[in-house]
Amino acid sequence: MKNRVRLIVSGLLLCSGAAFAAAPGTLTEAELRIGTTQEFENLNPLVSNMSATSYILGAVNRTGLVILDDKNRWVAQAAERVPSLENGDAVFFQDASKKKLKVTWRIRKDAVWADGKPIVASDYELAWKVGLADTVSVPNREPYQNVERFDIDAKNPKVFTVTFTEPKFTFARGLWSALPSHVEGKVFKEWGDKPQGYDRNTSYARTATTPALYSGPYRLSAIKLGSHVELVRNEKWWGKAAAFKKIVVRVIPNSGTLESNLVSGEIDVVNGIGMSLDQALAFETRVKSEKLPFQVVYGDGLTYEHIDLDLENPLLKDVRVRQALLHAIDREALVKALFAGKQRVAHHFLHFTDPWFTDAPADVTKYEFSPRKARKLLAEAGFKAGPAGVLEKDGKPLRFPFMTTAGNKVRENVQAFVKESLKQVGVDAEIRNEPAKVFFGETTTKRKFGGMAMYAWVSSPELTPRQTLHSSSIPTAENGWAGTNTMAWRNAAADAAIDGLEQEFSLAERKKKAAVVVREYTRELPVLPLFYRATIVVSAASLEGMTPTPHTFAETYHIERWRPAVGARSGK
Amino acid sequence: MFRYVVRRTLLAVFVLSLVSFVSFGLMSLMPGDPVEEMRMSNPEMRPEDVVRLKALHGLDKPFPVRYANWLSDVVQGDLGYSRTYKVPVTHLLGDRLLNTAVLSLSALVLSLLIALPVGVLSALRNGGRFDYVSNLLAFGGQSVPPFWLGIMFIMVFSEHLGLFPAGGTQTLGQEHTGFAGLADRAKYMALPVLVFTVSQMAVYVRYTRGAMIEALRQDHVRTARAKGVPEWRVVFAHAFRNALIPLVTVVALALGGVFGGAIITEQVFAYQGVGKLVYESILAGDHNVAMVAFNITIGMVLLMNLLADLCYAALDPRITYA
Repeated sequence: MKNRVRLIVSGLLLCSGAAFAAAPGTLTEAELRIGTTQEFENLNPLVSNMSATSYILGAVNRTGLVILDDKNRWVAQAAERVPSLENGDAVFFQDASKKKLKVTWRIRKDAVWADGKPIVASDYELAWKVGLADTVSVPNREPYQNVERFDIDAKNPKVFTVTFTEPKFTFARGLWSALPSHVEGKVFKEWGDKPQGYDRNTSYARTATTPALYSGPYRLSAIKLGSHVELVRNEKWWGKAAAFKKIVVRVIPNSGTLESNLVSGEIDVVNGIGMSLDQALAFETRVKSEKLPFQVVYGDGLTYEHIDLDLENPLLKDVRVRQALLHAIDREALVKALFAGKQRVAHHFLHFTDPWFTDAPADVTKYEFSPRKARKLLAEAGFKAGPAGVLEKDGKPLRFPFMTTAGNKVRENVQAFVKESLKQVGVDAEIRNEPAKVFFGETTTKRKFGGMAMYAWVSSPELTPRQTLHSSSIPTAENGWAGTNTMAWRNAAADAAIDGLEQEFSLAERKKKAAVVVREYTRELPVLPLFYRATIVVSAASLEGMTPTPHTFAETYHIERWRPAVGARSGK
Repeated sequence: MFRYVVRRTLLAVFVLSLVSFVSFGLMSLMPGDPVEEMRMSNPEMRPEDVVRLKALHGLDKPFPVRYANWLSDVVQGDLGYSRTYKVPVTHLLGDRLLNTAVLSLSALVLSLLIALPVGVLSALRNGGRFDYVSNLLAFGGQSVPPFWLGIMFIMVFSEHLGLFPAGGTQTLGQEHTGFAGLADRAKYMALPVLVFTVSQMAVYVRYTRGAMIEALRQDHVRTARAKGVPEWRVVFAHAFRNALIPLVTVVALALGGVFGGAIITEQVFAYQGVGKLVYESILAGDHNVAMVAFNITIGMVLLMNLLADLCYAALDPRITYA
């Protein structure tokens, strides 16, 4: 019966000239098809903000002067070398009464745009001016505003010097991507003074396939927002040649059908923002049982899942209660039960690959799973047995809301685990989930969660936790609910350490300051750290060279390493 | 008739303005906006960046001012700028509206082609085996959630049989033209159209059956039969014509929604339609995109209602418009 149906429909389709998808898991150098669940916007590197856009930019834009490598080290990309105080490219100087920093960048001699024009200092200068414009929706203007002078070497258009207003240790990292001044210069000149004028008229939005806009191993050949992009090899690319002639990135918004697209041969890869860990684990089991030609690759991610505690809730003000909560949760069992041990338990906000990471007992107070200790701490805080197994104090039960994003299956599973753990020690965490838009747009932003709010913070190596842990980042009506210290944590020692971090040029000293923040964080527990999220890439088993990255530079920043296995190249 | 059409058109403009005001207001009540979304995904955005971007996008202004600005731009032919995709709205909507219309109309035509004969036959054999089976299938079609049916179709026809693509709108990177282009689109549309047809067809079968049973009981049908008019003529010229009046209303409403999109079907099959776009835009607080799509849908509903009213007069000589 099955064969008969197949025969009839096949016949009909063949008659109409239709073509079937390639056999699943087979790769050739002709094309690689990637599926993702997230949307992307236009590819202007200055105004883009979405993860999926950053993923595509990794293949087409390599004007970032430096980049993080697989081991979270900053290495040169479009620059000849990373400037430092040691190699003399960065120098302090005294300007009136202020100590300032001057950094010289040298762009690679062979770095060119996809139309063959050299990438020069004026391309970075244009980007600086665009970044400073009030009329352009650049997400974070701090890197641009912190540069007070931009000087191009009169003798060499590939050398420029930037003078920083406030010297910061991140001087060699925070510089922006370039914009091709021979294309975008006139657009900015014409539209730059009108609100959103540049946003609306940038060539990345109007004539997105112009080769001169790109500088990576690939350039854009077609784009349909919300649907797909097609990338073709950039013949002018200065680095190692990419193996695949063409890359197609398709948006498949329903994560349930993403797997079907993979298995039916419609796509070859599901990128790092496509599958959740539970889906990847289930798919890996299927791959093994059905002997499917796919691989699931896991890596360490910097994003860490945590529970914010509302420190203005009288029940959670007592540090002993917060410590008891963490003692009550068996996080090792949680990651084993729900994630097959692929995600690591977090003891604080720094990732174990971060140069600031510390595990020293003097810096980190660890809370092992111990319901006995949890009960003891709660008893010390004055809580006694109450009705229905819930502890109470002064007639008030130890009960508060426990919120997260509704419909996120992974989070809901973790939430159920945590709720049950807390119940065992007499704490009633009432589940009140909300859609992500309400949860992030209103509840956490305006600190309305009232008890526990579970979500994730995205990080990067040596990221000063000003936005998340400094008391100046507590969202209030007065500051327009800006900042993400939603716990309303105030700690003078942590604030001082965070304030000092940015101006500290010695890594050893920065580690000491970061350790102070870790010490205060783990002592006071304004947040319950849960685990670091793993990064996942699912692909045809014959795809080589693609590994998930632990930071915000997606795996596409190494797309030139991707290639089909030797034996698989003639498959299609 | 002409005066009636003019009056209804003016009324439609008023309704459209009113509904656009209400929908803009409702969207404004939703928590969060594109800048908040940016802030949650970008840990390096500072409070001053949030304030600056809200001012730049006009999100710091009260709702009536924002609505007035939007309306003023639309009247001048500027449909606005998508804050999510960072392109003009017109860049986003054109192809998607067409894709959705093709999907919706194909499913509508297919479901009517199946539902009308099945409904008529079911009414003629009221209480018989065919009636029971068609009723069962109609109830089944109405009851099965489209997302489940979509996933089942993908698993059977794409994963196991490998007959149709699991999703998409057309083969990417291959410029098919003429018949090959049509065949390529048809291959991608087959499963979403089928899912859409199953859920719609069930409704039309029920309506046709109900209306036909009612019409067949009318005195003029009994009289026609008594006069010896052939049965096929009794059914189609006397009963079916009367049964069409309620059906025209339902079909007109469905036609009004052809640009509205089938959000779930489009999501499951990654079909590039306007429904998916509007859904994403509402979630992201991208009002400019959602408002344009809303107003096209509302305009279509009003237009189709007017056409349905005009059809009544054509179908029923007792109805006239002064």
